[in-house]
Amino acid sequence: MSAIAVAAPSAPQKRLWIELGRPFVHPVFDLLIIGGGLSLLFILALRLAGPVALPAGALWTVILLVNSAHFGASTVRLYTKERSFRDLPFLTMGLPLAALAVFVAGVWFPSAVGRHLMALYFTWSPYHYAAQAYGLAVMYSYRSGSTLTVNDKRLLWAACLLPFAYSFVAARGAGIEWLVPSSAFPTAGWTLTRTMGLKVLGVLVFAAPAALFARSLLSGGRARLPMISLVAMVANGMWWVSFNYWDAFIWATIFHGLQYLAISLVFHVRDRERQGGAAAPWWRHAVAFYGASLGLGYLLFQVWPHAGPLGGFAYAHTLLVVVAVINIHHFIVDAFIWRLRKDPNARVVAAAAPSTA
Amino acid sequence: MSLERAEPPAPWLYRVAFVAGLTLLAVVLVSGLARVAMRDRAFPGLEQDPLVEAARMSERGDRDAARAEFAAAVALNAGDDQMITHAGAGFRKTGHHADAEAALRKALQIRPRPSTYSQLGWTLMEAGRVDEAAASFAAALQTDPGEPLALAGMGEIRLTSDRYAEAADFFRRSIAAKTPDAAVMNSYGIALALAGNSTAAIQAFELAARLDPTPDILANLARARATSSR
Repeated sequence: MSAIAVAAPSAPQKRLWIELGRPFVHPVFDLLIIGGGLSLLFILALRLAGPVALPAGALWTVILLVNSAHFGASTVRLYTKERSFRDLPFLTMGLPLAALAVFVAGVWFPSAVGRHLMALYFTWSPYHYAAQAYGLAVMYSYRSGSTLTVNDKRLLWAACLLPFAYSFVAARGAGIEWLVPSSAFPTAGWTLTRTMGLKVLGVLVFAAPAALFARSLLSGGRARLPMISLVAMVANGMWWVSFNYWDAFIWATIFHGLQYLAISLVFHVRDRERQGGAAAPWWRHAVAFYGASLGLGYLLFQVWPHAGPLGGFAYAHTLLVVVAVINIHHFIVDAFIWRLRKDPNARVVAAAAPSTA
Repeated sequence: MSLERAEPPAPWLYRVAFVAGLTLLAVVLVSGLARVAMRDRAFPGLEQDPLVEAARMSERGDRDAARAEFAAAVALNAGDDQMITHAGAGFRKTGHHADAEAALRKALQIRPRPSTYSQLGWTLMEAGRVDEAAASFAAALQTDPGEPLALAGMGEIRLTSDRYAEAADFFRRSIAAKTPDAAVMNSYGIALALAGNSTAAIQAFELAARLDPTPDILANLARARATSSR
């Protein structure tokens, strides 16, 4: 999810020196779920109590309820969003067929296409999470009355991209290992450079948001970053730095999915209420949205892969290419449906923002 | 030069693409649902493990099909060392030791986990390359002295070279490190029996028989009881 500029309140209020940020739902909910604070507590608990080995059934259930549903949510959001068919005709009507064509190419040519789809998905995922952290950080800043200049946003964007840079270097079979053939690396020198690069990036991932937060406090309130923005950035960094690359893929996708579902539900419910659905209670819109997302997630991830062997393709190929294609589809859709400029999304962000009087 | 913007594709083209995409997706989903419903008399379960079909094929003895599935997973997901290790163990289980060795060595290149060294050790031992197996188990134990599969492997190597007391010690440590496994418990009983400790051997065989009463284990138990009663 990414966000770009929206007209924000012009003058800051007198506020607490450090502020949590104006929540969409409730300060605790926004900080823990949308901001990702819950994942920080989880990582702290892991550090104190040792590794967690969830039973396979429990893990797959959590993945369905959160991760698969979050993929469903982006599609449900796309097709339920006001004016999406008119404004985004390729995304709504052309992309599904294009995605199916890519899927067929992936299973038909696993070495030439499928392998690269997997690598693209693994490389793009951390970028997508970085974009979501940036989107949330900007969203809460605007919502909390800050005005971000182009320079503020560039710095914020750079800080949010650091976890992506870290995972790009750390990734095995993806990221830098995908784009640069291993034969190009002199073994010892490359390993040393890579290790040192990861150490530097591992520090910058946390130092940069902290420095930006401190800088924002000195901005006199104009471009103050709320705490939720900082937590969203730090949480994304923790996912990629504190876990190894493949464990990060499990836990980061769960917490990212939780963030995503929460913010999607907020936007969907607010949209529905604004479009005249206020007669129905908010939870009815939320249940309908989540139910549709969950159902779609189940069909895409649990049902679709079983069709592959009927066409003579290995189940493993089908499943892996399905996962890659759904992820890539999701990354593309998200790049469009969360825009704020000239978009109804801006109304939700600005709604109930602090008075600028 | 015209300053007019390029015309977007005709709306009907989008509509055709949309209907085609939805129709194809519906066909794919109904096919997937029907396949599982006819095979398992149930809806697809909750799993996203690329090796699940391979494991199913392996269980029912379809070794070549399982091998193709394991190979498919390894070919596509080249960076996931844990998945490749599981595939390596699957190759080994289906008797494809060369594939297993290649997969496990690939996984070790990505991340040298003790459990991967153990799997490689067992693969090499089953291929008759005992010295290389011992080196692989030693590599596993160097990183994790409690690695149960490596301890069991070391026990087997000691057992085949008639060093029964040492073998029994390795098996005991392996059993202490994880939930008892019938095969390891059976080997422990054999080492104890050959070391002359028939009472402890009977206990080990009894536990092995409770876990998995195979004919071999039951025969070992009967033999140990007969020896003890003489």
